[in-house]
Amino acid sequence: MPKTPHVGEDELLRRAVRGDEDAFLEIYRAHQASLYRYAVRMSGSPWAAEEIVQEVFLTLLRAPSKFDSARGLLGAYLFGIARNRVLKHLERAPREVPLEPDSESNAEVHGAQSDKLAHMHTPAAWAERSQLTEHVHEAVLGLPPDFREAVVLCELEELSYEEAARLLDCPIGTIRSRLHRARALLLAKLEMWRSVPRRATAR
Amino acid sequence: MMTCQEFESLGPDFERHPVSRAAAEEHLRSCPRCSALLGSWKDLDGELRALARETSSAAAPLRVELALREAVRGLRPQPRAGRLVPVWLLGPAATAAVAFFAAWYVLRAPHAPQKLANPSSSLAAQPPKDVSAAGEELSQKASGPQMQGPRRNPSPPAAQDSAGEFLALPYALPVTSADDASVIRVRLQRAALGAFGLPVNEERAAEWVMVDLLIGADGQPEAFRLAR
Repeated sequence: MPKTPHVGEDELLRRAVRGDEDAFLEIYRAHQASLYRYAVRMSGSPWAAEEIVQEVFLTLLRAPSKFDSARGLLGAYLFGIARNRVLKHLERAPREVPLEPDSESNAEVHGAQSDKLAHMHTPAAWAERSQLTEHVHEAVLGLPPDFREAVVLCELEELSYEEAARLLDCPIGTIRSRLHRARALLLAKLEMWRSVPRRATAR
Repeated sequence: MMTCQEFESLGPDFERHPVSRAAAEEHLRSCPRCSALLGSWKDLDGELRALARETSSAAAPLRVELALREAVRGLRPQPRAGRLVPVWLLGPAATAAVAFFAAWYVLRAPHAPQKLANPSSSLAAQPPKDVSAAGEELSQKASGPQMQGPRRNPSPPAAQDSAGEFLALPYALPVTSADDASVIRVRLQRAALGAFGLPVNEERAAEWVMVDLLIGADGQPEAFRLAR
Protein backbone atom coordinates (compact mmCIF):
# COMPACT_ATOMS: atom_id res chain seq x y z
CA MET A 1 0.00 0.00 0.00
CA PRO A 2 1.24 3.48 -0.76
CA LYS A 3 2.92 4.95 2.28
CA THR A 4 5.59 7.23 0.97
CA PRO A 5 5.56 9.49 -2.04
CA HIS A 6 7.59 8.38 -5.00
CA VAL A 7 9.70 11.21 -6.32
CA GLY A 8 9.21 12.00 -9.98
CA GLU A 9 6.22 9.74 -10.55
CA ASP A 10 4.78 12.28 -12.96
CA GLU A 11 7.91 12.28 -15.03
CA LEU A 12 8.20 8.51 -14.89
CA LEU A 13 4.62 8.17 -16.05
CA ARG A 14 5.17 10.63 -18.89
CA ARG A 15 8.16 8.62 -20.05
CA ALA A 16 6.35 5.31 -19.64
CA VAL A 17 3.44 6.30 -21.86
CA ARG A 18 5.95 7.29 -24.52
CA GLY A 19 7.26 3.75 -24.48
CA ASP A 20 10.11 4.07 -21.98
CA GLU A 21 10.28 0.57 -20.57
CA ASP A 22 12.64 1.42 -17.73
CA ALA A 23 10.39 4.19 -16.49
CA PHE A 24 7.41 1.89 -16.59
CA LEU A 25 9.26 -0.84 -14.73
CA GLU A 26 10.17 1.59 -12.00
CA ILE A 27 6.51 2.39 -11.49
CA TYR A 28 5.42 -1.21 -11.84
CA ARG A 29 7.92 -2.64 -9.41
CA ALA A 30 7.17 0.01 -6.83
CA HIS A 31 3.47 -0.84 -6.71
CA GLN A 32 2.72 -4.25 -8.15
CA ALA A 33 3.37 -6.34 -5.06
CA SER A 34 1.07 -4.40 -2.74
CA LEU A 35 -1.66 -4.32 -5.38
CA TYR A 36 -1.29 -8.03 -5.98
CA ARG A 37 -1.40 -8.84 -2.29
CA TYR A 38 -4.48 -6.73 -1.83
CA ALA A 39 -6.16 -8.37 -4.81
CA VAL A 40 -5.27 -11.91 -3.83
CA ARG A 41 -6.24 -11.40 -0.20
CA MET A 42 -9.54 -9.90 -1.21
CA SER A 43 -10.40 -12.32 -4.01
CA GLY A 44 -8.69 -15.45 -2.75
CA SER A 45 -7.72 -16.16 -6.32
CA PRO A 46 -4.18 -15.74 -7.61
CA TRP A 47 -5.54 -15.87 -11.15
CA ALA A 48 -7.97 -13.05 -10.52
CA ALA A 49 -5.31 -11.04 -8.71
CA GLU A 50 -2.94 -11.45 -11.61
CA GLU A 51 -5.56 -10.25 -14.06
CA ILE A 52 -6.49 -7.33 -11.84
CA VAL A 53 -2.89 -6.14 -11.52
CA GLN A 54 -2.44 -6.32 -15.25
CA GLU A 55 -5.64 -4.38 -15.86
CA VAL A 56 -4.63 -1.71 -13.36
CA PHE A 57 -1.39 -0.94 -15.17
CA LEU A 58 -2.96 -1.17 -18.60
CA THR A 59 -5.55 1.35 -17.47
CA LEU A 60 -2.75 3.62 -16.33
CA LEU A 61 -0.98 3.34 -19.66
CA ARG A 62 -4.12 3.88 -21.71
CA ALA A 63 -5.38 6.88 -19.80
CA PRO A 64 -2.43 8.44 -17.97
CA SER A 65 -4.10 11.84 -17.93
CA LYS A 66 -6.65 10.56 -15.44
CA PHE A 67 -3.95 10.54 -12.80
CA ASP A 68 -3.55 13.95 -11.23
CA SER A 69 -0.58 14.15 -8.92
CA ALA A 70 -2.11 17.20 -7.27
CA ARG A 71 -4.91 15.04 -5.94
CA GLY A 72 -2.82 12.25 -4.51
CA LEU A 73 -0.07 9.74 -4.91
CA LEU A 74 0.15 7.40 -7.82
CA GLY A 75 -0.01 4.45 -5.43
CA ALA A 76 -3.34 5.61 -4.08
CA TYR A 77 -4.63 6.15 -7.59
CA LEU A 78 -3.58 2.65 -8.62
CA PHE A 79 -5.12 1.22 -5.46
CA GLY A 80 -8.40 2.91 -6.37
CA ILE A 81 -8.39 1.23 -9.76
CA ALA A 82 -7.48 -2.10 -8.22
CA ARG A 83 -10.21 -1.77 -5.62
CA ASN A 84 -12.85 -1.12 -8.26
CA ARG A 85 -11.70 -4.16 -10.19
CA VAL A 86 -11.69 -6.32 -7.10
CA LEU A 87 -15.20 -5.26 -6.10
CA LYS A 88 -16.44 -5.94 -9.61
CA HIS A 89 -14.82 -9.33 -9.47
CA LEU A 90 -16.46 -10.10 -6.14
CA GLU A 91 -19.84 -8.98 -7.45
CA ARG A 92 -19.87 -11.18 -10.49
CA ALA A 93 -17.99 -14.21 -9.23
CA PRO A 94 -18.72 -16.43 -6.28
CA ARG A 95 -15.91 -16.69 -3.84
CA GLU A 96 -13.26 -18.91 -5.25
CA VAL A 97 -11.69 -21.57 -3.17
CA PRO A 98 -7.98 -20.91 -2.77
CA LEU A 99 -5.86 -23.19 -4.80
CA GLU A 100 -3.81 -25.90 -3.25
CA PRO A 101 -0.40 -24.85 -2.00
CA ASP A 102 1.37 -27.10 -4.46
CA SER A 103 -0.36 -25.64 -7.49
CA GLU A 104 1.67 -23.50 -9.82
CA SER A 105 -0.04 -20.17 -9.34
CA ASN A 106 -0.29 -20.42 -5.62
CA ALA A 107 3.31 -21.36 -5.30
CA GLU A 108 4.46 -17.80 -4.83
CA VAL A 109 1.88 -17.09 -2.17
CA HIS A 110 2.90 -20.11 -0.26
CA GLY A 111 6.56 -19.85 -1.13
CA ALA A 112 7.28 -18.15 2.13
CA GLN A 113 5.95 -21.15 3.95
CA SER A 114 8.86 -23.24 2.82
CA ASP A 115 11.20 -20.60 4.19
CA LYS A 116 9.52 -20.91 7.52
CA LEU A 117 9.92 -24.65 7.55
CA ALA A 118 13.44 -24.37 8.84
CA HIS A 119 12.22 -22.40 11.81
CA MET A 120 9.62 -24.95 12.83
CA HIS A 121 10.71 -27.46 15.39
CA THR A 122 8.91 -30.42 13.90
CA PRO A 123 7.00 -31.23 10.73
CA ALA A 124 3.88 -31.78 12.82
CA ALA A 125 4.18 -28.31 14.33
CA TRP A 126 4.70 -26.80 10.94
CA ALA A 127 1.69 -28.66 9.51
CA GLU A 128 -0.54 -27.56 12.36
CA ARG A 129 0.58 -23.99 12.05
CA SER A 130 0.12 -24.05 8.31
CA GLN A 131 -3.35 -25.48 8.65
CA LEU A 132 -4.31 -22.82 11.15
CA THR A 133 -3.09 -20.09 8.84
CA GLU A 134 -5.04 -21.62 6.01
CA HIS A 135 -8.18 -21.57 8.10
CA VAL A 136 -7.60 -17.97 9.08
CA HIS A 137 -7.18 -17.13 5.43
CA GLU A 138 -10.42 -18.90 4.56
CA ALA A 139 -12.18 -17.14 7.40
CA VAL A 140 -10.97 -13.78 6.12
CA LEU A 141 -12.17 -14.64 2.62
CA GLY A 142 -15.55 -15.55 4.07
CA LEU A 143 -16.09 -12.06 5.47
CA PRO A 144 -18.35 -9.57 3.70
CA PRO A 145 -16.23 -7.47 1.33
CA ASP A 146 -16.37 -4.31 3.43
CA PHE A 147 -15.21 -6.13 6.56
CA ARG A 148 -12.67 -8.14 4.62
CA GLU A 149 -11.21 -4.97 3.17
CA ALA A 150 -10.77 -3.47 6.61
CA VAL A 151 -8.98 -6.61 7.81
CA VAL A 152 -6.79 -6.78 4.72
CA LEU A 153 -5.72 -3.17 4.98
CA CYS A 154 -5.37 -2.77 8.73
CA GLU A 155 -4.36 -6.24 9.86
CA LEU A 156 -2.59 -7.77 6.88
CA GLU A 157 -1.14 -4.68 5.22
CA GLU A 158 -0.74 -3.09 8.63
CA LEU A 159 -2.00 0.33 7.64
CA SER A 160 -3.14 2.69 10.32
CA TYR A 161 -6.84 3.45 10.61
CA GLU A 162 -6.15 6.89 9.18
CA GLU A 163 -4.36 5.52 6.14
CA ALA A 164 -7.06 2.97 5.50
CA ALA A 165 -9.77 5.59 5.85
CA ARG A 166 -7.97 7.82 3.38
CA LEU A 167 -7.63 5.01 0.86
CA LEU A 168 -11.23 3.95 1.18
CA ASP A 169 -12.43 7.53 1.41
CA CYS A 170 -14.48 6.94 4.53
CA PRO A 171 -14.40 8.10 8.18
CA ILE A 172 -12.00 6.48 10.62
CA GLY A 173 -14.94 5.43 12.73
CA THR A 174 -16.23 3.36 9.84
CA ILE A 175 -12.93 1.53 9.61
CA ARG A 176 -12.91 0.92 13.35
CA SER A 177 -16.47 -0.33 13.29
CA ARG A 178 -15.87 -2.66 10.36
CA LEU A 179 -12.78 -4.07 12.02
CA HIS A 180 -14.62 -4.65 15.24
CA ARG A 181 -17.40 -6.57 13.55
CA ALA A 182 -14.94 -8.43 11.35
CA ARG A 183 -13.05 -9.63 14.42
CA ALA A 184 -16.24 -10.89 15.95
CA LEU A 185 -17.08 -12.84 12.80
CA LEU A 186 -13.56 -14.21 12.49
CA LEU A 187 -13.56 -15.37 16.08
CA ALA A 188 -16.85 -17.13 15.53
CA LYS A 189 -15.61 -18.85 12.41
CA LEU A 190 -12.35 -19.93 13.99
CA GLU A 191 -14.13 -21.14 17.05
CA MET A 192 -16.33 -23.30 14.88
CA TRP A 193 -13.24 -24.74 13.22
CA ARG A 194 -11.59 -25.47 16.56
CA SER A 195 -14.67 -27.19 17.83
CA VAL A 196 -14.72 -29.56 14.82
CA PRO A 197 -12.68 -32.72 15.34
CA ARG A 198 -9.32 -32.49 13.51
CA ARG A 199 -10.00 -35.68 11.61
CA ALA A 200 -13.04 -34.14 9.95
CA THR A 201 -11.01 -31.25 8.58
CA ALA A 202 -8.08 -33.29 7.46
CA ARG A 203 -7.54 -33.25 3.71
CA MET B 1 -17.45 0.26 36.66
CA MET B 2 -17.31 -0.92 33.05
CA THR B 3 -19.84 -3.49 31.90
CA CYS B 4 -19.12 -6.50 29.67
CA GLN B 5 -21.07 -4.87 26.85
CA GLU B 6 -18.98 -1.72 27.08
CA PHE B 7 -15.80 -3.78 27.09
CA GLU B 8 -16.89 -5.70 23.97
CA SER B 9 -17.80 -2.51 22.17
CA LEU B 10 -14.34 -1.08 22.83
CA GLY B 11 -12.66 -4.14 21.44
CA PRO B 12 -8.91 -4.64 21.56
CA ASP B 13 -8.48 -0.95 20.87
CA PHE B 14 -9.20 -0.16 24.50
CA GLU B 15 -5.47 -0.22 25.15
CA ARG B 16 -4.99 2.79 22.88
CA HIS B 17 -7.13 5.05 25.04
CA PRO B 18 -5.66 5.84 28.47
CA VAL B 19 -9.04 6.69 29.96
CA SER B 20 -10.77 3.51 28.86
CA ARG B 21 -7.72 1.40 29.50
CA ALA B 22 -7.85 1.81 33.25
CA ALA B 23 -11.55 1.01 33.41
CA ALA B 24 -11.15 -1.99 31.12
CA GLU B 25 -8.28 -3.42 33.13
CA GLU B 26 -10.32 -3.08 36.29
CA HIS B 27 -13.20 -4.89 34.59
CA LEU B 28 -10.93 -7.66 33.34
CA ARG B 29 -9.71 -8.39 36.85
CA SER B 30 -13.22 -9.22 37.93
CA CYS B 31 -14.65 -10.78 34.73
CA PRO B 32 -13.26 -14.12 33.53
CA ARG B 33 -15.50 -14.07 30.43
CA CYS B 34 -14.09 -10.79 29.17
CA SER B 35 -10.59 -11.97 30.09
CA ALA B 36 -11.15 -15.00 27.87
CA LEU B 37 -12.52 -12.75 25.15
CA LEU B 38 -9.41 -10.60 25.34
CA GLY B 39 -7.31 -13.74 25.03
CA SER B 40 -9.26 -14.69 21.87
CA TRP B 41 -8.67 -11.26 20.40
CA LYS B 42 -4.98 -11.53 21.01
CA ASP B 43 -4.87 -15.00 19.50
CA LEU B 44 -6.69 -13.72 16.46
CA ASP B 45 -4.27 -10.82 16.12
CA GLY B 46 -1.38 -13.27 16.27
CA GLU B 47 -2.94 -15.50 13.64
CA LEU B 48 -3.64 -12.57 11.35
CA ARG B 49 -0.06 -11.39 11.74
CA ALA B 50 1.15 -14.87 10.85
CA LEU B 51 -1.04 -14.83 7.77
CA ALA B 52 0.30 -11.39 6.87
CA ARG B 53 3.88 -12.61 7.22
CA GLU B 54 3.32 -15.69 5.15
CA THR B 55 1.76 -13.79 2.31
CA SER B 56 3.95 -10.72 2.53
CA SER B 57 6.26 -11.94 -0.19
CA ALA B 58 3.45 -12.52 -2.65
CA ALA B 59 3.86 -10.63 -5.90
CA ALA B 60 2.45 -10.70 -9.36
CA PRO B 61 4.02 -13.40 -11.51
CA LEU B 62 6.71 -12.44 -13.95
CA ARG B 63 4.40 -13.07 -16.88
CA VAL B 64 2.36 -10.01 -15.88
CA GLU B 65 5.45 -7.84 -16.06
CA LEU B 66 6.39 -9.32 -19.42
CA ALA B 67 2.94 -8.72 -20.84
CA LEU B 68 2.96 -5.13 -19.63
CA ARG B 69 6.44 -4.50 -20.98
CA GLU B 70 5.20 -5.67 -24.33
CA ALA B 71 2.34 -3.21 -24.06
CA VAL B 72 4.77 -0.41 -23.24
CA ARG B 73 6.92 -1.26 -26.24
CA GLY B 74 3.80 -0.91 -28.35
CA LEU B 75 3.47 2.68 -27.18
CA ARG B 76 6.74 3.75 -28.74
CA PRO B 77 6.24 6.10 -31.68
CA GLN B 78 6.87 4.25 -34.92
CA PRO B 79 9.40 5.92 -37.24
CA ARG B 80 7.34 7.00 -40.22
CA ALA B 81 8.33 9.20 -43.14
CA GLY B 82 5.42 11.50 -42.54
CA ARG B 83 6.64 12.30 -39.09
CA LEU B 84 10.18 13.03 -40.17
CA VAL B 85 9.08 15.86 -42.45
CA PRO B 86 7.54 18.97 -40.93
CA VAL B 87 3.90 19.29 -41.78
CA TRP B 88 4.38 22.70 -43.34
CA LEU B 89 6.67 21.14 -45.95
CA LEU B 90 4.08 18.69 -47.19
CA GLY B 91 2.24 21.22 -49.37
CA PRO B 92 5.29 22.52 -51.25
CA ALA B 93 6.63 19.00 -51.53
CA ALA B 94 3.40 17.79 -53.12
CA THR B 95 3.42 20.72 -55.53
CA ALA B 96 7.01 20.03 -56.51
CA ALA B 97 6.22 16.38 -57.03
CA VAL B 98 3.31 17.18 -59.33
CA ALA B 99 5.40 19.68 -61.27
CA PHE B 100 8.21 17.19 -61.62
CA PHE B 101 5.86 14.50 -62.81
CA ALA B 102 4.26 16.85 -65.32
CA ALA B 103 7.66 17.88 -66.67
CA TRP B 104 8.78 14.30 -66.90
CA TYR B 105 5.61 13.34 -68.69
CA VAL B 106 5.99 16.13 -71.26
CA LEU B 107 9.63 15.31 -71.87
CA ARG B 108 9.10 11.62 -72.28
CA ALA B 109 6.07 11.96 -74.58
CA PRO B 110 6.58 11.02 -78.29
CA HIS B 111 5.89 14.54 -79.39
CA ALA B 112 8.23 16.06 -76.88
CA PRO B 113 10.23 18.83 -78.51
CA GLN B 114 13.97 18.55 -78.79
CA LYS B 115 16.10 20.58 -76.55
CA LEU B 116 18.00 23.33 -78.24
CA ALA B 117 21.11 22.21 -76.51
CA ASN B 118 21.46 19.49 -79.13
CA PRO B 119 19.27 20.46 -82.02
CA SER B 120 21.58 19.71 -84.91
CA SER B 121 21.05 16.00 -84.88
CA SER B 122 17.35 16.13 -84.81
CA LEU B 123 15.79 19.15 -86.41
CA ALA B 124 16.19 17.96 -89.95
CA ALA B 125 15.38 14.39 -89.17
CA GLN B 126 12.25 14.92 -87.17
CA PRO B 127 9.06 13.72 -88.78
CA PRO B 128 6.16 16.12 -89.17
CA LYS B 129 4.75 17.02 -85.78
CA ASP B 130 1.35 17.60 -84.39
CA VAL B 131 1.10 21.33 -84.31
CA SER B 132 -2.35 21.63 -82.93
CA ALA B 133 -0.98 23.63 -80.06
CA ALA B 134 0.24 26.23 -82.45
CA GLY B 135 -3.07 26.92 -84.02
CA GLU B 136 -5.52 25.39 -86.40
CA GLU B 137 -4.13 26.94 -89.55
CA LEU B 138 -0.54 26.21 -88.85
CA SER B 139 -1.16 22.68 -87.81
CA GLN B 140 -2.18 21.76 -91.33
CA LYS B 141 1.14 22.88 -92.72
CA ALA B 142 3.75 22.29 -90.15
CA SER B 143 6.08 19.72 -91.51
CA GLY B 144 9.23 20.80 -89.75
CA PRO B 145 10.47 19.67 -86.42
CA GLN B 146 9.32 21.17 -83.20
CA MET B 147 11.60 22.65 -80.71
CA GLN B 148 11.46 23.95 -77.26
CA GLY B 149 11.96 27.56 -76.42
CA PRO B 150 15.49 28.58 -75.59
CA ARG B 151 16.34 28.00 -72.00
CA ARG B 152 18.95 30.71 -71.97
CA ASN B 153 16.21 33.24 -72.42
CA PRO B 154 14.02 32.17 -69.58
CA SER B 155 11.69 35.03 -69.10
CA PRO B 156 11.01 37.04 -72.18
CA PRO B 157 7.65 38.70 -72.25
CA ALA B 158 6.52 36.33 -74.98
CA ALA B 159 7.48 33.26 -73.10
CA GLN B 160 5.01 33.77 -70.33
CA ASP B 161 1.84 33.67 -72.33
CA SER B 162 2.85 31.91 -75.47
CA ALA B 163 1.66 28.59 -76.84
CA GLY B 164 4.79 26.92 -75.51
CA GLU B 165 6.38 25.08 -78.44
CA PHE B 166 8.40 26.51 -81.28
CA LEU B 167 8.07 25.21 -84.81
CA ALA B 168 11.18 25.23 -86.93
CA LEU B 169 10.76 27.22 -90.08
CA PRO B 170 10.70 24.94 -93.14
CA TYR B 171 13.76 26.37 -94.78
CA ALA B 172 15.74 27.33 -91.71
CA LEU B 173 19.02 25.68 -90.88
CA PRO B 174 19.13 23.68 -87.67
CA VAL B 175 19.82 25.69 -84.60
CA THR B 176 23.39 25.05 -83.58
CA SER B 177 23.35 26.39 -80.08
CA ALA B 178 20.71 27.53 -77.72
CA ASP B 179 23.15 29.81 -76.03
CA ASP B 180 22.98 32.38 -78.78
CA ALA B 181 19.26 32.14 -79.46
CA SER B 182 16.78 34.75 -78.36
CA VAL B 183 13.07 35.24 -78.59
CA ILE B 184 11.28 38.28 -79.87
CA ARG B 185 7.58 38.85 -80.07
CA VAL B 186 6.22 40.47 -83.20
CA ARG B 187 2.79 41.38 -84.47
CA LEU B 188 2.11 40.10 -87.96
CA GLN B 189 -0.68 39.62 -90.35
CA ARG B 190 -1.30 36.01 -91.12
CA ALA B 191 -0.38 36.71 -94.68
CA ALA B 192 3.16 37.39 -93.53
CA LEU B 193 3.48 33.81 -92.39
CA GLY B 194 3.52 32.91 -96.03
CA ALA B 195 6.93 34.52 -96.20
CA PHE B 196 8.14 31.73 -93.96
CA GLY B 197 6.84 29.15 -96.39
CA LEU B 198 3.69 28.45 -94.43
CA PRO B 199 0.30 28.10 -96.06
CA VAL B 200 -2.13 30.88 -95.28
CA ASN B 201 -5.88 30.81 -95.30
CA GLU B 202 -6.74 33.62 -97.61
CA GLU B 203 -9.97 34.36 -95.83
CA ARG B 204 -8.08 35.12 -92.64
CA ALA B 205 -4.97 36.54 -94.22
CA ALA B 206 -5.67 40.04 -92.94
CA GLU B 207 -5.90 39.00 -89.31
CA TRP B 208 -3.24 40.23 -86.96
CA VAL B 209 -1.54 37.64 -84.80
CA MET B 210 1.24 37.74 -82.23
CA VAL B 211 4.17 35.52 -83.06
CA ASP B 212 7.27 34.66 -81.06
CA LEU B 213 10.29 34.31 -83.29
CA LEU B 214 13.34 32.34 -82.23
CA ILE B 215 16.27 34.29 -83.55
CA GLY B 216 19.54 32.49 -84.08
CA ALA B 217 23.04 33.81 -83.61
CA ASP B 218 23.10 35.04 -87.16
CA GLY B 219 20.02 37.15 -86.57
CA GLN B 220 17.83 35.01 -88.78
CA PRO B 221 14.51 33.57 -87.53
CA GLU B 222 14.80 29.86 -87.06
CA ALA B 223 11.55 28.92 -85.40
CA PHE B 224 8.32 30.47 -84.35
CA ARG B 225 5.24 29.98 -82.28
CA LEU B 226 1.93 31.67 -82.04
CA ALA B 227 1.53 33.66 -78.90
CA ARG B 228 -1.74 33.22 -77.07
